[in-house]
Amino acid sequence: MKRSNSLRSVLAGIAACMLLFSCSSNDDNNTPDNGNSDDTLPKNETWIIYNGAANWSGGVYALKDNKSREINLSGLPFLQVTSSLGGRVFGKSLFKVNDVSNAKQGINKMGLDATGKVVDQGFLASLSNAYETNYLVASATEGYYWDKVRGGLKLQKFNPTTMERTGEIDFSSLSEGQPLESIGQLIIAKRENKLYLDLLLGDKAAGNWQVTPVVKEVAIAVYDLTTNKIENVTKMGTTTNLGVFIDHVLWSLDEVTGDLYFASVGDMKTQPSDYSSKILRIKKGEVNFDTTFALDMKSYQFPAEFNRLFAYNNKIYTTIPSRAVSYYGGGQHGVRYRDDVWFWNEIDVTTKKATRLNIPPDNFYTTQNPFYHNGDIYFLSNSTSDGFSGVNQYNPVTKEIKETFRLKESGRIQGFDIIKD
Amino acid sequence: MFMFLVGLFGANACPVYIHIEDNLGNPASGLTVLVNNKSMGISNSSGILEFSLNDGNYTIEIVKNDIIKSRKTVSVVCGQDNHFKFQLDSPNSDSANLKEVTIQNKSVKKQIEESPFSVQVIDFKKQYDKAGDVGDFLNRASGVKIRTNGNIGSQVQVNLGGLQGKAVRIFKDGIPIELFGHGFSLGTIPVNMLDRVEIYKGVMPVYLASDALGGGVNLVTRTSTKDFAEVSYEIASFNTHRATANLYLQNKNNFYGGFNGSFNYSDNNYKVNVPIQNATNEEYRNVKRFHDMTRSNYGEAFVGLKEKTWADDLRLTLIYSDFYKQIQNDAGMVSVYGQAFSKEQNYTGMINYRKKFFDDKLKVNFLTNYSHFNTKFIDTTTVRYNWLGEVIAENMQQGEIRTGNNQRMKYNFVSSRLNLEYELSDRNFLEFSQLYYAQRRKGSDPLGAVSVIDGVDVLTVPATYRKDNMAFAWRSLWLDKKLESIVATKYYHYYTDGYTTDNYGFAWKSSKDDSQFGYLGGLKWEENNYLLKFSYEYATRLPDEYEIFGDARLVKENLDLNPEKSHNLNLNGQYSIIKENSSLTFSANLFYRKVQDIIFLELDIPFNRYINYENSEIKGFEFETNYAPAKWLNTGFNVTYQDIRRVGIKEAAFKYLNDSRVPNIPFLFGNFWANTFFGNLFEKGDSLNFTWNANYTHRFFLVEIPKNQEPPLFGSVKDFQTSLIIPRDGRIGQFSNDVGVYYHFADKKTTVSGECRNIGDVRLYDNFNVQRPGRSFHLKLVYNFF
Repeated sequence: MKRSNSLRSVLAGIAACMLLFSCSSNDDNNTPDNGNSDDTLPKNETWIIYNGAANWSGGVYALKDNKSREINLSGLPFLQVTSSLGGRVFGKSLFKVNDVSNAKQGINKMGLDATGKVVDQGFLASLSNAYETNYLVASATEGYYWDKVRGGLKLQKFNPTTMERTGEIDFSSLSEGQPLESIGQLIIAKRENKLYLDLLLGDKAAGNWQVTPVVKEVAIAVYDLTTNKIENVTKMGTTTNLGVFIDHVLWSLDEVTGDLYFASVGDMKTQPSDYSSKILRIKKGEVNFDTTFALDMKSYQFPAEFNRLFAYNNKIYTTIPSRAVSYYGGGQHGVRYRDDVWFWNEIDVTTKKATRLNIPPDNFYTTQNPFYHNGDIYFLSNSTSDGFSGVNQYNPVTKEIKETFRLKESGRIQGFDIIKD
Repeated sequence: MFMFLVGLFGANACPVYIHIEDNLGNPASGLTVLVNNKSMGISNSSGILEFSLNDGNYTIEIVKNDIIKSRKTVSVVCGQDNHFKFQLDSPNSDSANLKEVTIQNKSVKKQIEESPFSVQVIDFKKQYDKAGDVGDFLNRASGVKIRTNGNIGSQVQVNLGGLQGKAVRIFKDGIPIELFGHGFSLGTIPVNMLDRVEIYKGVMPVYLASDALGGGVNLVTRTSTKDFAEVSYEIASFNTHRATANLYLQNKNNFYGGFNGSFNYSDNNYKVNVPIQNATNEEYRNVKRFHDMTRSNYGEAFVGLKEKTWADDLRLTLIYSDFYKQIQNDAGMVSVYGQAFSKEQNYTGMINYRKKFFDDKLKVNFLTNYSHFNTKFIDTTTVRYNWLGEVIAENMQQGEIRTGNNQRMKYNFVSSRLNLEYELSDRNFLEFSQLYYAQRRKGSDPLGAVSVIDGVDVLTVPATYRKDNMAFAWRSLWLDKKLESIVATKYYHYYTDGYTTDNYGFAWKSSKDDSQFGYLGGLKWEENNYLLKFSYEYATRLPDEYEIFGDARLVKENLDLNPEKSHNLNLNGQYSIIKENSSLTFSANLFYRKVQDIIFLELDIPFNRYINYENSEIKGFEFETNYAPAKWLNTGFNVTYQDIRRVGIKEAAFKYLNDSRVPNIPFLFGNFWANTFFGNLFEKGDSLNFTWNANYTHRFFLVEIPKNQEPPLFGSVKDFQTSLIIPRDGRIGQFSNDVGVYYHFADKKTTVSGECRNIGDVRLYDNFNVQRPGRSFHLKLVYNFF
């Protein structure tokens, strides 16, 4: 009997300890505390926000009635993603490179469910193991992507509605027998029923992620979708390497003028002065580079690169760093390139004059380009010194700038889209 | 602790304790103890002499001045306790009529588990008929979660009290296990190679002084003190073959020699559920793995001398091991590889010296070894494969996994461990331990190690890493030895040099050294059926060479990296009800860890780097019950919950992740088991055993989820998609069952066993989305020659 009592005491003690130890002072609550909605915000728009933690993982959130000028994402439903780099939007669908786990290479499609929550809506897998699937969604049923394993000089076609591969366009005739040859690896643009694709012929040095072209120039192949023929290959010297990352395109179509702009980053390892980063143009109706036009980063800052690009009404919106930067030579990475040095600028393509916009600088943790919506151009910024992660909007006519929103204790902003009802 | 140390110094055998008292109950020192006419030593001031014997009957004689004071035949049963007490009739009597008083049983397992530390011992002496490797047994232990990336030969991590990876140090007989090559690892070593495994949770004992943040595991090699030869062979699904051989011979001059060896081979071609692309999209199918073959050999030969005036034991061991492994997939089980492989050979020499001085008051154990490794990591193919094993692309860039590797390395290691214990009195002991470790590597990888900055193959630049860990402790017994205390201080130091580049692109060799102090304390109270323990350690893990220097290619150096530190607390309780034919034991452990400056890989392009970034807090408990209602049945269960959460996030932007669970670590898991024993079934002396082991692992998360959006422990997942939850198919957890039948022939030489693992053919995941084997069958034969 004595032993039995002792046993009960021991068990009761253990149970009490376990209870005490496992309890937490924090109350779990799933109630969003983001209730300070703002009547000045359009009711018929849904904001898509990609936030990110230090390891770039985060969530994709949709805000409709709960939009506000200061957003705390805590408690809101989201689609969880391992690499939360901002995606692209087409209609009511969102697209980004690689699946939610960032393990499967390809193109991920997302959208809103009946409750307004962001959900997975399909995946088009690449055969490649590497992070290298560039793509373009041209219409609900017309899409293009690059899959190295299916052939560097073959552009793949897919249907963005079904997310199925539908065929390919062969550019093998452009081959020069170089070790690495690609078409559309970093630039796939469509204008006037023609595709504009970067043509890269060269090799990659060990440890360098950029391809070194055999001829120091950039080249765009123009493919006519009406005749299904390669119409032209236009080249331009004094710079190399169009585009930079696949989830972050460096081309922009000025929807007012119809001109098509491309940014080259040059060799980011050596940053040569004679082949510096430039913004180039193919004018409306043309299939050749406008050899009379180039915006040279050297004119604004050097060494540095153009790493964002948006063109609207003969103005280029991009970032220019406040001091020289180097992507490779920054020692411990994040000391220079990821400082709060990337200031948003408006560059007049005629005068080439750059005007700094009064928007918090960005530290390049987000890579999304600005975009135009309903009269305003929207810019994303993460600025450690300002404690700012959010979006500003700029009216190019009135020159008025206002803060669209800022995130409150909700990670970095790594993407932002607006979907209209 | 005393018992624990006794166990330590007799680490390779089954310990026997002779306790001699005079007729008044006082310790009788200076008496010679003979076993089968062979002198084993002299009783110390406590009247105690300990030594090692194997299973069997022995005649023990207590002799003084060449006069036999007592003679008795005793039966030593390894796995049980062998404590024999003798009482002399009078302190000065010359009479041989001595009487036996008591025999106390206390196995090595029990001795270690009764130390003040939070420790668990898995004794393998009765497990040599079991199939599989050591990891399978560790996974069934309370508070232990093994994280396996597949089947035989795959990488294995041990999670102890919520900490894992480099935070948990693994040793073989006190030497870091990495010095023995992959041929001797948790993923390859069969149980027949080991005597036992000691699992230290959170607080490391002094004799294993090392920079372990979350505890450690010591694999104690199997050996013997009598002639002995055993072979085993296991054949299993997936074309798996395992064999072991163990031999020990000793002559009358106490010269001994032996061999321990193992061989593993597996195609690892179990089925996995993976995406396969057709012309338009992809579909998930069950296909066989086709490039995961693993082969390992391990052999250690040893010779030595025992019980000499100048050495209690001096042993020389020579080891050869090799390891070959094909690499099939990435951690997401999406990318598939068809030609990449790794290979290594390891040569090791080891010397171990043990001796007691000054009337056995000072115990010395010194062990040193030298290892040489040749390793290859080859990934040079220009073709690509799909999961069907078909080539889907040719003439691609070299390298399936990253951008190609043709890595050939040579490593040299030196490691030494010195353990000293001095008995100040029968209740006070001083202990000292030092671990010295040095590593030098040089090699080349023209594909994968060329520095981006200046084009140098950084592996051609020799890199060294050295560390010293020291511990000094005072251990005491109080209150009629019911209370045991230990306090210790530890010192950690390391030095490393290697290749680095500066902000301007210049490269040179630079070095870094750092040191850190730590301390620990422990208390144990034992009375009747109760055992209560409390232990605390301020633990440290030193950054390793790779974390400091990176690879100059994908991972940049960080010479400002600091050691990881943790405050570790454990409170253990145990209660036992032991009757003649039945027993019931409850044990519980509450643990707390506060980890600071966790070394974190900051991902970026083009360079990642390691930084001291995260802090975390771990609160958890383990509970285990063992119940043997009758001699033929033993059953029990354990459950572990560990609440591992990030804390102290300073950046305002990331505060939403405060209190989020650290991802990719199971936080709720447990085991259930039932074993039966039937003897004299077909003939006298045989036995037939059945076992059933069940394992449950609750779902866990692949990425951080803000705490207020975390799904309930058992409810459905509502606010976000489930594809980043493991398992991702909606199950709330993974539940697997293993069964086995074991027949021991009456000749006591032969055992035949059959097992079925994962009988439900359940999809199991331990680490990220790497799928583990489905149902497998194992047949094993063990034969003892003598």
